[in-house]
Order: sequence, then structure tokens, then C-alpha cells
Amino acid sequence: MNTVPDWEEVGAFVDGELTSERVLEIEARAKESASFFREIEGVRRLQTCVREQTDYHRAPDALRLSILDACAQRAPSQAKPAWPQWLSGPGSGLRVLQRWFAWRPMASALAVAGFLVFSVNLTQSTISNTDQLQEDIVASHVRATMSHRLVDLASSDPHAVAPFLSARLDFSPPIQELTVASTSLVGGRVDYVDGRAVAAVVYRLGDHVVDSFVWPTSNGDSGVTKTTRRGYQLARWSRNGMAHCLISDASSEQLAAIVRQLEAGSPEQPSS
Amino acid sequence: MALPHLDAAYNLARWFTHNDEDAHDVVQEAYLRALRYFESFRGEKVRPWLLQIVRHTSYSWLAKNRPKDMVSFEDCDAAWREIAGPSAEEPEAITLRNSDRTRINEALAALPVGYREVLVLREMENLPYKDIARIADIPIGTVMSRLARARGLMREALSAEARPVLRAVPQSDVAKNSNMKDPSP
Repeated sequence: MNTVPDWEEVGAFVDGELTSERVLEIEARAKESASFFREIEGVRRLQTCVREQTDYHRAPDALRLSILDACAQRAPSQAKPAWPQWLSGPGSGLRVLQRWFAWRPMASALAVAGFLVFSVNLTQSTISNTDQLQEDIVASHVRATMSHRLVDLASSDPHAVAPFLSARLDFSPPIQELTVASTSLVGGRVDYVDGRAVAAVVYRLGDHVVDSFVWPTSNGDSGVTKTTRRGYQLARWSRNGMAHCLISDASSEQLAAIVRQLEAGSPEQPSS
Repeated sequence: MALPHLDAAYNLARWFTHNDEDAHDVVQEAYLRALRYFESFRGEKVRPWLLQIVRHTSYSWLAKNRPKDMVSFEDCDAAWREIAGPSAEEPEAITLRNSDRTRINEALAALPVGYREVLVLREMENLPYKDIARIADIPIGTVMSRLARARGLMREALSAEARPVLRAVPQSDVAKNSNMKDPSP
């Protein structure tokens, strides 16, 4: 089947939602037709733009507390009367027992305990690969900045860093010089993330260190996803079979400029 | 204590309600509902399950407090079927890059609610179509077409001179779905 892809399908292509046969067909078409290629790039650009520049509203702490509060309060109000009327008549011995049991506080305690279990279950079941990967990246970045082993090879020349890294890895990472103000290439090191050896290209942005991790991936291209972890800014994307993850303690605005350049520049910059 | 996925829930509700106070109420209500329905939860993926409840709660809130938002979407769904994407030659490349945050946020906030939700779930939560379909309670093919329209509307809003580009979208949903990784059931 080789129908002309409409632009709904172009969106699904950019989102990595098509079957691999169809992906190949579309990639082949993009090579033939410059205007179709531009169409794909247009969707990618919009995606990056939306991901980078829209506000992600994080939940305020007050909400966290008030949810827990509300859970605790709701439970007792819904609890059925503790004892049938005929059992708790005046003077009944059960009445004493009932008071001693303190039904209501116990119900709230149970509700909170229930919610705790619920939360822990959910949290446990969602520690995904992505989380693991991000943890690894943060750990690697922190280790490198704390120790004196920031780079294995110190050089501001991409053509020196690239061969150094590709000689020590089973792939050749794309390396670019940054044109963003007050940035410089510091060098590269080989690191270990998510169960494999990866390239870490190190840049300096003012006083901040920016680590750019690169490794081959078989998942399709994906746009920039930004997250924050322990105060570090992370930006991930995949392009041309390479997964990229940038991490730094610089502000997300400062980092965005670098992400934009690296993400846009990677195709024209095959490493030497 | 960690309430799971609270940021994702809050962000979604915030983009539905447009303000912090109402998002706060909606998310709180949604988590209480989640607690109540937890018995019906059968070890599937948690995030879509929870976001589905948040979306549902948001829609009830919208129906009560912003009935206009709901109506505008229902009415326009058919009309926008014909609006296709920008032609590749459009100079929006330049405009998009330099668009400021405010403009992009405003454009997203102005999208009809059905398009806004799929775009928020796709671009901010990075969810696959399958999960979006589950949360928004629509087939995967509809996720694809709504996303395309949402993106088209965003581009239109962001390109310097807003001019609608009309191009018919072939309605070959059946053929298209056969190319999807997860054909909707």
C-alpha cells in the first residue's frame, strides 16, 4: 500500500505511531519530495515549539495537603452508624464499648492508611524505564561534576572530540560547536547509562556545566521532552537514530537555546 | 507522601479550567473519585486511568460552569473537518521560532476543548495515541485527526497573518487505521 500520506498521517509519523513499513514508505517519499520533507519538518517544528514554550502547571503543595485532608474527612461522614439502634440503647453495656472503640477517628485513620497504600501502589507500578533512565543521567552528571573527571578528553575542537569518543564506543556521536552566547565545548567522556556505554559531550554555559548524552536508539524520532529532576533541567529527544539527553543546572530558558541548536543542527552535522 | 501523577492531573485540569482555583477543586474531586473507584482498577496503566478520571471530572465541571466551551466544540467539529494543514511553503518556520511564550500559550488556551486536550496529552505528557484514546474516550483514528486539526489550528493562530488554508482531508480512515501500530478495537 503506497497511498499519498495526508497530513494526519504526517502527524502520526512525527509522533512515531505508524507501522515500520509505513514509516519506510514515508521516509522514502520525504527523500524524493522537498515540499513533503518541509511539511514533516513543519510539524516537528511546531511540536518542539509547543513542548518548549507552553506552561506546564505543577500542582501546588496546598493541593497535595488538601486532597489528603479531604480523603480523611470524607471517610467518616460516609461511615454507616456504628451500631444498630437496638444495641446501643441508653444504659447498654455496648455503649461503653462503643465509646472505647472510638469509631470515627479509626475510620479516618483507616482512610488515610488506605490512601497511603493506594499511593505507594501507584508510585511503585509507575517506576518506568524513563524514570530509571533519568535517574541514571542525573547520577552520571552529578558524579562527573562532583569529581574531577568531567571529561576524558578536554578539547574545544569537535573534530578532536568525535574521533576520541567513536574510538571508545560502538557508534559515532554527532558533535557540534555551540553558537549560543557564552557557551563553549569543554570535551567529551565515555559514561554508562541505562545499561550501555554512552557518549557524554560536555559544554560550559557561563558557570554551568551542560552534559549532552548521546546513544543509538532503535525507537523512531521524537520531539523534545523537558523534565526537571532534583533541580536539574533535562531535555530529551531522538533524531536520526540517536537518542539525546541534555542535563544542566542552568535555567530552562538558558537551556532551551542550546536544545534548539543541537536538535536542529544534528542532521547536517555528521561526526567526522 | 507522594500523590502519584498529581502534576500531570493538575496540568490537565488547569488547561481545562484556565485558572488555578478551579483546577485545584477539579483535581481534588478527581482524586476522591479515584479513591472511590480504586476497587474497579485492574492493574492497567495508572496514568491513563487517573487522567481519564481527571478529564471526566473536568468535563462535568465545564458542563456546569462553562457550558459555552462545550458547545463551541460540538458545533465546530464538523466545520473544522475541512480545514487542513498549512502548505509547506508557509513562512511560519520563522514566525514559530520567534513566537513568544505568551502567544503560544494563548493559542493553546484558545483551542476548542476537544483539540486542546489531545494536544496537552500528546505534547506535555508525551502519551502514545493509545493512552490518549483511552483518556479522551475516542477511537485512535479520531485521536490522529484531532491532533492534526489541533496542530493546524495552532499553526494558523501562530503564523503572522492568520489566513485559513482550506484543503480537503481525504476521509480514508479505514485505510489509515490499518497503518497504525494499535488499530482501535
